[in-house]
Amino acid sequence: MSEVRHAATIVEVFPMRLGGEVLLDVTIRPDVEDGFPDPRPNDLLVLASGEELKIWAAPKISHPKGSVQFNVQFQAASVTEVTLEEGMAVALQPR
Amino acid sequence: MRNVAIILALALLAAVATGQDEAAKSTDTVWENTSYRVKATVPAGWTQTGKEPKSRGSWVELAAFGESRSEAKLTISVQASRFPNADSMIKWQREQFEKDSGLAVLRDEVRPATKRTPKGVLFEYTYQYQRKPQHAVAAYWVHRERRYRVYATVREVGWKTIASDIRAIVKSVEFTSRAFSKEIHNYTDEAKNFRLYFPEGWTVKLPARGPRVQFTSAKRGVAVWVYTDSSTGKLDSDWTRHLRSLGDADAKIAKKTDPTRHPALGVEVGAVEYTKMIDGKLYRYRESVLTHRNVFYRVVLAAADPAFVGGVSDYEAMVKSIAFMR
Repeated sequence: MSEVRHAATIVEVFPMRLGGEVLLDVTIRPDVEDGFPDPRPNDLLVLASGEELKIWAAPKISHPKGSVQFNVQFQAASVTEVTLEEGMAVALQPR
Repeated sequence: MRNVAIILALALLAAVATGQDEAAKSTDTVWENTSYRVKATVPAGWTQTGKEPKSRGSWVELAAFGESRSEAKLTISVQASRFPNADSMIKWQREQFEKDSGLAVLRDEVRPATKRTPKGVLFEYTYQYQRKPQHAVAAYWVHRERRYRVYATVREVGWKTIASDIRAIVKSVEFTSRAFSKEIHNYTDEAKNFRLYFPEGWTVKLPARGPRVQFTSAKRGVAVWVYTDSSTGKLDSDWTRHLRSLGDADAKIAKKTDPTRHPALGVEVGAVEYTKMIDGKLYRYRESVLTHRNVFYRVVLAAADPAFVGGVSDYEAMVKSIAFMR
């Protein structure tokens, strides 16, 4: 696991809680676009509190209005207990 | 007498108004994905937050909407379906919701097929997210080997303000593919052992005499009749006899295709086009004829010229869709 952390901000949090499916879809925007890696499964999203969340899937890169955003998804039900809100500072730590 | 009946039937066509769907309010937004041919009406106050399809786990999200006051979010998604029909999907989906202890299901509602949607299922439920109660609705349909889902979620405190909007969006979902129309507009005649599809905008009538069934398109001013008669058991004989009867009825045959094997039905089908002058007006007809199990079937397209041309495409689809139960 790399020790390098790339700062980002949460843009959107979308809980997908359905029968048999638990998915938290989080959109992050890199604070500095240059050098920000594409998120991949098993990368960590590190919160300001120090909590580390393992990314389950990183399905899509979107480019709304010229900026770069990433969708990262978490599958574990326990993630729904962690506070993730729009505007929160986080960091992506590649595996 | 028969000519009078035809004129009456055609006159009736002009008088029949076409059915219209409930009109959306002017402040509503109609969203449609033309690739998947799925459509929904979104009330004022909702904005589309995701326009490009994107992957959400095993689903592809076709569109996402948000409502700012309640912070409700709603998505319309699709995935490949392994379910052969609606009932198997509903059964499986119920099991998933029932065994998920993290949810409290408030409503489990089978949604019957409508003119625009197949049979589906809707769940309304609550769950905890970040230690706060959330309210959610998930509705599912299976259509053309795909499973569709509308999922909406909002914090419990905002539910009451947005519930009617979410229900309205779910209710507005419709599938616009022609294939869907095929599924819902089937006419079945058990006694005469046939069924066929009729397109959107056509109405069905069972006349007291004459044809077995009558389909009319008021918009196009055309009619399709299905006649059944006793058969000699061989199409060749029936075909010859029928052509003779057309000549006796002063029909002017313009074109005929002697019986050839219909690839889907596995029986011989013949076709004939002719015209007739009725009270000084030119009427055009096209017939497909076939024999199956000692019944002689005739599917007839009829219209005053030039409306006839506008009905050909629908007529061909109807003929193509004919099937026998036995």
